[in-house]
Amino acid sequence: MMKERSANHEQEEQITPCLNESIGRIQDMFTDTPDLIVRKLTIKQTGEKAAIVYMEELTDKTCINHDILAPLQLESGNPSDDFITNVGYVKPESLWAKLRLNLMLGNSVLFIEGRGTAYILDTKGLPTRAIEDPQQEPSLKGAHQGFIEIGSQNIAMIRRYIPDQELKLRRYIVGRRGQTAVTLMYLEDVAHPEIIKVFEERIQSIDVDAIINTGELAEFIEDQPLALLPQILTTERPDTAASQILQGRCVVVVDGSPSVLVAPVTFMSFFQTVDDYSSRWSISSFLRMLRIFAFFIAIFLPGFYISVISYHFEIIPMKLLLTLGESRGQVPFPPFVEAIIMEITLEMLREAGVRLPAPIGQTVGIVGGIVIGQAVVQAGLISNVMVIVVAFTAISSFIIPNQDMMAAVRLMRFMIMVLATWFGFIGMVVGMMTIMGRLITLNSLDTSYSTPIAPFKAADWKDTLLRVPLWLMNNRPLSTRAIQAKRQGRNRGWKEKQ
Amino acid sequence: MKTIRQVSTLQFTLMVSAFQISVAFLSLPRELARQAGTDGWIAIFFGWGMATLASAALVKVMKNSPDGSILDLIQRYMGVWPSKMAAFIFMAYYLLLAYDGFMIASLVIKLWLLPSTYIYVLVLLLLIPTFQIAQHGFQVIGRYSEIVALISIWIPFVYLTTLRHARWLYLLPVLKDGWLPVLSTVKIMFYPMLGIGLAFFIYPHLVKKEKALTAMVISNTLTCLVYLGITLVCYVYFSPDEIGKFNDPVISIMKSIELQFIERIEVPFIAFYLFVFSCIWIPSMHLVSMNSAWLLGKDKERGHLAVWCFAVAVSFFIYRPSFIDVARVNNFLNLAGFVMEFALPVCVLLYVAMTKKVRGGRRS
Repeated sequence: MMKERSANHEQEEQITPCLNESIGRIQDMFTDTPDLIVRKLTIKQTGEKAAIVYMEELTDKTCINHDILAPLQLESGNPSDDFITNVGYVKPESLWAKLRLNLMLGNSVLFIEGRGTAYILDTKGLPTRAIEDPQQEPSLKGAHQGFIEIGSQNIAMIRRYIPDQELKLRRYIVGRRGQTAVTLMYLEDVAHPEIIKVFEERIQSIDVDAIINTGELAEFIEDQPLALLPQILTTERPDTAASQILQGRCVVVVDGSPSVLVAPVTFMSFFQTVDDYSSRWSISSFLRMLRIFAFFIAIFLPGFYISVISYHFEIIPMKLLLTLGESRGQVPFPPFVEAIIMEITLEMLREAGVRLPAPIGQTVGIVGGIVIGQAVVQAGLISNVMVIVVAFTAISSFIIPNQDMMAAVRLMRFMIMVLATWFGFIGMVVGMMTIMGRLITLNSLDTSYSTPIAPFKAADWKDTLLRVPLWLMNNRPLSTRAIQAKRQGRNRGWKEKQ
Repeated sequence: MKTIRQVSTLQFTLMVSAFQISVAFLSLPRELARQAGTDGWIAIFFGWGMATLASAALVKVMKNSPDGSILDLIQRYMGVWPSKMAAFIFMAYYLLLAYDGFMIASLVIKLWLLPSTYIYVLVLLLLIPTFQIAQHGFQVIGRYSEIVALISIWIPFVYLTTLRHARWLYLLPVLKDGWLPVLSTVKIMFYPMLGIGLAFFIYPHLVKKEKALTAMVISNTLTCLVYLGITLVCYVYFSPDEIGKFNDPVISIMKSIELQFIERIEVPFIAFYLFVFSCIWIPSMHLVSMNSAWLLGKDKERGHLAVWCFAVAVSFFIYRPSFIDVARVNNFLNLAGFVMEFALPVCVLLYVAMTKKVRGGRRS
């Protein structure tokens, strides 16, 4: 009770006009913080004593030196101003709690003798990196820009694609210790208000120490975090994020993380890439169908092989049967064990390739793929058809553009393999039914996940298996429940004039 | 009242159609041939006519209760105890339908694909997706039927390829024994048209209730087209003497299809056809759990579903059915289906009309 009262008291505590008391208080609050700088000065304009306090590495020191210290100490101007400074953002504040928080975020605080308020000045200068091509989502024809770790810069990159005043931002602070700024971006006259409400409700009900990465936020606001399939899309590309906003979805930018969240999404959103819309429609459609085909191959091919070898060898044509029999004849293990050994080996190679630096990673990939595969067949441990099946499965899973979906596919494959080992084709079909059942019962932010397949929305099929020519896509997808549907008029108007 | 999840017209159509086609598809040509020889395909038209009339009566009945299922209707017009009795009867009826579906599916699997697996193990396996999907209600079942319809589009084309060996002469002369065999075959057409009874329970969930009758007519037509197609394909492939001798002419016909990269195409076909089979037992199990939940007055349909799934699995463990049992159950379901889905809507319609007249008469 006492602790609570003093904590509340602390929240409401205000500064006093005495400068020395303020400085003493700051030094008491920030013990064991050698990067806190307290700089005493005299303001030339009014002759008052003042002190500026800031954290050494979080602030932009050039800004402090040129835009705060220099004008205060050297210039005398209009006496009606509070004080002279060149900094853009200045806010008077008298609560100690807020002053402390702002100091930790990288802002500077100016105390002036005899005044009851201190001033917060925006001098944030966090270490940052240059804008580069996103590693996980490279594109052939799109922009080579990816998000960086500063939230405001990411927002700027998205705003550049949509300089519309309807693009609204809502900012939330998430995390008691982390105080991470989470921004929700949407088009006010397009995005459905219910979706925004659901987003807001879910973000505001998060009570956590800190959010380090966007993935954690996704897990807190997802409908079914335990499911294998992802229900929220994460992307590192500003053009993808902007395109999703224009379709009627909402984007969440998390300060400190280079991925943004997009929701609500459907199952097909995980197979769309930004290159689909800048390439010609025929190749985009072909690649889209290839990706979906690869999805099925990656899940079902090992299971299909196991069930054909174990149960249903009568469907193999005679010539292939002899080859298969010969290669399987040397292998001492049952098909399931053979498959598991190869799949686990491949997963280990993949995981190892992620951690190693680029040149070694490539070598390991080649070594693992060719040498181990060859050696293992020659030793008679694995049949060569199994190596082909596993390699083909791995290539198919790499075709899927989204990392979360790729991970889900990798896991579902094992489930199907187990079912195929026990029940052959029937096991695979039951596995397929279970996956279908999962797809149709999942929701992404209260909107159906498996649309436009089921519930069947014919209009949305324009961007599902095929990518129809852009001049046919006049309305936003129905799956986003956008309240303003028309997104283009005739964009080949010149043709009609001919 | 909890929010009613919406079922679209397309989902309703496909749900009813898939329910009708799923088990009758395999045995229909054989049954029709046994009763009426090669003129059996004419009986399908009569079946369509009867189903349409029954659908009309059904939709008319349900118009009186737009927000509740048939049980709410009965409760409103006849009282609580008749509705509980009706719930019990529906529960038993759909349990029998689900049992029939599981039985046929697992026997066909045992015959063609996995002879050594115990039948209760197969049923237990099939119950896993059933439990997962049926617990969520008609919206999800509707979506499932949509997907199944989408992935089954290729099946008619496969059957059309068997027409290479067709002998159209088998069909002639039409009506060689007169109309009597055809008319007496019509009585076995009730079982293949079972599924219109789903409207008793789906009607409150429909978005566009005014299109319910159109949807049902379309689904009956779709079902009968499929039946007609498969019956004619079987009749022109098998000779009139041998068609009554095959248990599953629909599967046996696949032996004529030869592809270069796969032999014995009926094996993956049956595995794939499991999707269509599932369209009878998933809605049935859902309705069983819904009716038993209504009986006990609680809302925990999921718990009821778990209990019923377990009960079905145990029943297959205790008693192993054979194809003779299938024939017996089908015959019984023919009669029971006639009562429940053809006669019942008409009776309830008459009762409701009379009650309204009496009540209206009293008021005026």
